Amino acid sequence: MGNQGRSQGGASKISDVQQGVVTQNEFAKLVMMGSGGRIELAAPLTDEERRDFEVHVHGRYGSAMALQVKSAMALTRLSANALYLRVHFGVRASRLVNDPAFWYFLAYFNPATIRFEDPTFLVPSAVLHEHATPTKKGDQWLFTFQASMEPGSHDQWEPYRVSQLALGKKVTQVIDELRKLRASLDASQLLEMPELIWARTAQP
Amino acid sequence: MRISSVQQGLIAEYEFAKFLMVGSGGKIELAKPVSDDEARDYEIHIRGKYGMGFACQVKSAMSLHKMSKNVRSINIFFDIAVERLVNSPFYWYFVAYLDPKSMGLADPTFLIPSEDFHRLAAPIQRGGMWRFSMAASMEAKSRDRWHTYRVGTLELGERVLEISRDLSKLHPGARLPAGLLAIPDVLVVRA
Repeated sequence: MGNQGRSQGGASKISDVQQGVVTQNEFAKLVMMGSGGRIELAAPLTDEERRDFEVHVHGRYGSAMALQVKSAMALTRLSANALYLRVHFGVRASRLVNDPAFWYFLAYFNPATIRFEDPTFLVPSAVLHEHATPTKKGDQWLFTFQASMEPGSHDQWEPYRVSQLALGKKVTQVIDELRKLRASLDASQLLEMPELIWARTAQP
Repeated sequence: MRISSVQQGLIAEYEFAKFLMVGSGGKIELAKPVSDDEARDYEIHIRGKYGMGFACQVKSAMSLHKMSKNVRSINIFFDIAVERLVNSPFYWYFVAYLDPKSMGLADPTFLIPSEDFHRLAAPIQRGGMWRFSMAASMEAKSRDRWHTYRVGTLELGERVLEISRDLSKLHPGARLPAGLLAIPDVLVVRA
């Protein structure tokens, strides 16, 4: 399960597996409660595709997003006043997925308060893979996500910040946007059909 | 729209597990029964220890009641079939308020041995069922009948470790066979 990155410091004595379970459950709780119960999460039976959750809107079929949860239990101080969430992980090149429906959730789980600390980050896979200093080593891609936790920061990860209490609404919005994207992609295929005639009602 | 009772149950269980695992520094392990027909939400044990554990049932509420102007209470009601009632020192109830605003458990929570819970939660037997109603004050200074079972969320891990240690003394495996003590010249040395 272990969803954490490496070298997160020794703030907690819980195991990687425990950290993985705790942070995934915490994410599921925030999404369920924050969406007023509209969002349902499902954990794949086999964890071979690097999806921690399949997420969909209750009662809606055919539109879902997949999520991978990454966490750290310590923050990194990169300057006198700036604390950073730093998550380092590797992915086998053959298993790297760049898909609009595949997202990463990254957060600092504070062992003192036993919950996430704001901000958390919800990042599309393609964006993370492009900007989290990708390095290829053998058959692995290595990524280092390093985002400022400071409220006034305007680093590259700022657009992906989400307060934990707003996660449910943000995930709902992402799923709605993915649904529209899929619908527009489907519609674009119409243009390739031969002898298709577009008809519109006349505007007054 | 509010979350369903199934979602509420699951989230309260997640919260309980989280506070136990992290609050004990990873020493506590929790296991979910494969079939849920014994009213046990979790089997709890200390990592690496075999044969000693206890079971816990999680009960939650998502609203508080005003008992008077300044007193809020958590109210929990449930029924249980007479033949399924378990009174055992190894079976406990965890009761907590899941605050929809902070999206987490609020202080205080309550950890109650089943025997105490069944005695104090106004038991009424009707037909083949027992009905229990718990109304516990959430106010810091309260001295109601439930105040001795209060635990802060951040102290839950330590409290459960303490309970496990106490229970291990009660465990049948921890008691010496009576005949042993009757043997002359036997010295019993305990760590």
